[in-house]
Amino acid sequence: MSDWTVAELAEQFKAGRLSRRQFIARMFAAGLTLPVIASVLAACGSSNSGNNKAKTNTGGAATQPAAAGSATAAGSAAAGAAASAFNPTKRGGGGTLKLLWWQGPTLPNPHINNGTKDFDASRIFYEPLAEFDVDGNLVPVLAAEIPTVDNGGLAKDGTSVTWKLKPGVTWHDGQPFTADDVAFTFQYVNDPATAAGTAGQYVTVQSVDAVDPQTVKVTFKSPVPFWQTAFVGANGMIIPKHIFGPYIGKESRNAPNNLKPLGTGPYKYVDFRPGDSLEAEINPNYHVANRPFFDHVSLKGGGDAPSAARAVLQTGDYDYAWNIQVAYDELQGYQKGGTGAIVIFPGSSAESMYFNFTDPNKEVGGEVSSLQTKHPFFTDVKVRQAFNLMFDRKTVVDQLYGKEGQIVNYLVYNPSKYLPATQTQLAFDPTKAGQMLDDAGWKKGSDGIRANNGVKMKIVFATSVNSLRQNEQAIIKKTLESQGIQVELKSVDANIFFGDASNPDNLAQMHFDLGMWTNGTAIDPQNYLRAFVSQTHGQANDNISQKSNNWLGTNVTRYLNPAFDQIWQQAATELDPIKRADLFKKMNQMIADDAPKLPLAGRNGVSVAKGNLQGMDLQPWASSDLYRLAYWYRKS
Amino acid sequence: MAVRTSPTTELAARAEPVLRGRAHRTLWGDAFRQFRRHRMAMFGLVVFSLLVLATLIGPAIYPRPINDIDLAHKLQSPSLSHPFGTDDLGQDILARVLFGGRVSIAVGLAAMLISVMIGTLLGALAGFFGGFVDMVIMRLTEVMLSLPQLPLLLLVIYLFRDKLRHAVGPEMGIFLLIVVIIGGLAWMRVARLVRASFLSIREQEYIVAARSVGAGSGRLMLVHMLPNALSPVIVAASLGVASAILTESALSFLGLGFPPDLPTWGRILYDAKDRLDSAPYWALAPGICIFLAILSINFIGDGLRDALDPRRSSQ
Repeated sequence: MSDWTVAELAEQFKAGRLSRRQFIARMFAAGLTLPVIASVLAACGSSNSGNNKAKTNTGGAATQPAAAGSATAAGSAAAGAAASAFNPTKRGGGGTLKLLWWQGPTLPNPHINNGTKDFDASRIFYEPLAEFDVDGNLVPVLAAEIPTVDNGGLAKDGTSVTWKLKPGVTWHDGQPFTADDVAFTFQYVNDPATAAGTAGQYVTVQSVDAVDPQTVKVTFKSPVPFWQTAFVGANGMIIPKHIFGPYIGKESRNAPNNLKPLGTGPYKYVDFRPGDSLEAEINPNYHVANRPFFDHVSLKGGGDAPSAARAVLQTGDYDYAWNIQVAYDELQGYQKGGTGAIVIFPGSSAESMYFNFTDPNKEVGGEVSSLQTKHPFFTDVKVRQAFNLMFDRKTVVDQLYGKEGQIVNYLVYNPSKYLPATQTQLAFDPTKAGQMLDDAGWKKGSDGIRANNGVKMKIVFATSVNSLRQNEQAIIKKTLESQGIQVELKSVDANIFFGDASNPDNLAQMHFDLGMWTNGTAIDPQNYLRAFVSQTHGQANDNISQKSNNWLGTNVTRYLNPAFDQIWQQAATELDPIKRADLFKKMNQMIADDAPKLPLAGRNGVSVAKGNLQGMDLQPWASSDLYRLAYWYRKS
Repeated sequence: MAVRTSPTTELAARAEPVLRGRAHRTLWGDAFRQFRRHRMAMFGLVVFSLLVLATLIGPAIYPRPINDIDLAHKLQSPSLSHPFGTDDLGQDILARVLFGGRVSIAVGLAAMLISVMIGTLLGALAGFFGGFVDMVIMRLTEVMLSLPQLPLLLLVIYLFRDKLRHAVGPEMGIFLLIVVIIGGLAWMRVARLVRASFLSIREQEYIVAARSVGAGSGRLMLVHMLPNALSPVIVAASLGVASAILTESALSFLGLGFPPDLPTWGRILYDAKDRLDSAPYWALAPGICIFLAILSINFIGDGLRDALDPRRSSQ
């Protein structure tokens, strides 16, 4: 149970959707003590009398059944937070919230976009049916309640799920939000011609039907173990049918509203300059009473992580900046004397090393790193494991990341339930690595560089421009060169490296041998592990990033392992959660053994915020840092 | 040069003392004398020579490796063992600055030479021949001037970096690319200056005289006109060196310059900028070097202009 569930309850109570008795009962269920509840009630009391526009809510107030179960441990913390929680009596009044995203959003369409920055921008305007909280429980956003077997929403055989939608929600242009919009969102994403980046989350879905305007039924092709992918979180944002209707399929890129987002969210579109700035104003008809707090949201894009950190911590020009990958001691230095706060929260992502299985030095049919080529040495698992011994993780974590990182042995380390029972420890042993390379046939030549059959062991090692990453590169290069591997470092501007995949310097095109960047799993690792699968849409190698799919396949290392594919497919249909967890453990171990991609450092989430900015509730399972934007406030 | 004396003629004997004082003076000799009197220019020459010398033989005298990672001694202020301190990987800043100077100065000088050569050639042709040639060259100059430099630079680097990398290696490839592009995009000012000078010099009596005794176009341009048009070129060239060093820094900034582990002054400065408050000495070393290099080159340019300006060398 997180503190914001309490706030949610209080909200509903205040709005009149919960009776006093229901409210107290739920608070008890959440593990709160009577004095705390009394104080929350007192805080709400003043507004309750004046708030008479209570709507009769057929489904009763929504609260997640699972929340109570996890409440005991967090009870006291939640109580403390609840007592001081912000409970506004009216909407707005907070002035302007200034956000700084050092990768500026370029396409705020939640389904056809260019990565995290665009999901973040989209989330200001669009909302999914539900989001995960820090404990991995679903919390409704546009849904009235979370479907369960008990409330009849979830079919026992796992073949369908029925969502009740929150009544009275309207789009920013005043049109009502209905089940048709949800069904349309599926059609839009599911049309291959739309080329939606989120389509992977919907491959298991057979159909989405509007049962009535407030009810939508999702039918799966086969029993689905983890049904919380469609319409949940980052990939689940609902788009309006009356706006995007004509722009389905091939026309998807031509929708004027791709750049003028129109959703159900707490803020409405005012102005957008791709890569530069985004302006939004309060949605006066937002479906949560008395939210949001800020009147305007202004998101500025561009720059780099250190200058973003300074703009918040030192000069105070901005209220919040995201994804601050800056050496920890440096951040602390900025913080001194300022009013800002470094916000560190648990993460699930890892700075990772990617081996290219294809040859970046050969061009086949106008394509570098084509599947028709083979990398001269990274296709050999012994070479990959030797490299694995040359990544000095301890130095990287201790010296560069500080509190922002941790040493991890597996790519999926959070949720920890997917870690194998006996874990392999990643070691640092360059000498042994040298021997392994010798054994694999790569012996040092007269120039000190390893070679085999006339091929020299030369690599291009690429990452994005970021001084912390450049330091990681320098540390790794030093070790590799000490073992006779010639390393050329390459650093690409982050907007290009992580941006449009059609740019030759984009990571998906892999114009390098060894790559380094961060990504991480969602609460269910199925989709994350897709990056090692070759085929997911029925055509051979369709998930491999390559020219024929505009480099949109998620398997960027071009890793081919039929055994892995098989286990992954098995996990996609395994209904028994325990057996499924075992499959994930198995895959986790397979990646560790076969080493197509290796963790360098586990990364905690790091943001910087003005000290008085509250209510972000940052956590790794959220769709975006902005998933609670409607609940952000400034403590006076 | 030998003194032509003729003891047999009285005239020559009387003229001798005068000749000894004046006769062997050449344009360049005069200029050098003038230059030596220019204090700031001499100061600039000394400083710049020292910088060049330091970057050339410095790494031999101070043989610390530029990439010796020592995290136990990171971000140390200047001390005896690290005269300029260490950076955030514990690498010696002095060693990096010395090495980086080679690249930065080489880029600056090479790019300047290219821009001056192209600019002078085109400007001279335009100014000398006038008419259609002038029109074509000047329109080309205007087109080039209107091109935004940085985006063009990015485009060219994307197009050719990988090809050059394969052909001559990553560092040489990017060096050639940067030098050619910076030089190739900075010649327009020189061309305009040279053309303007040529237009006015063309009408001078001594050119008419040279032409009347049969000097060809090439000789007229090279021998008679160019030396007289040089002074603005030299000033433009000295500024060009400075801007080339700075452009290289900007490219490092965008991750498009040299590989990130190759120190150049611009790159070191870029790396240091995030630690300005906690480790100012880190930025100070390359910053002072860039400052000194650009300042001294500007002083040298200043001195050369004064020395080469015929109107000022009346003494």
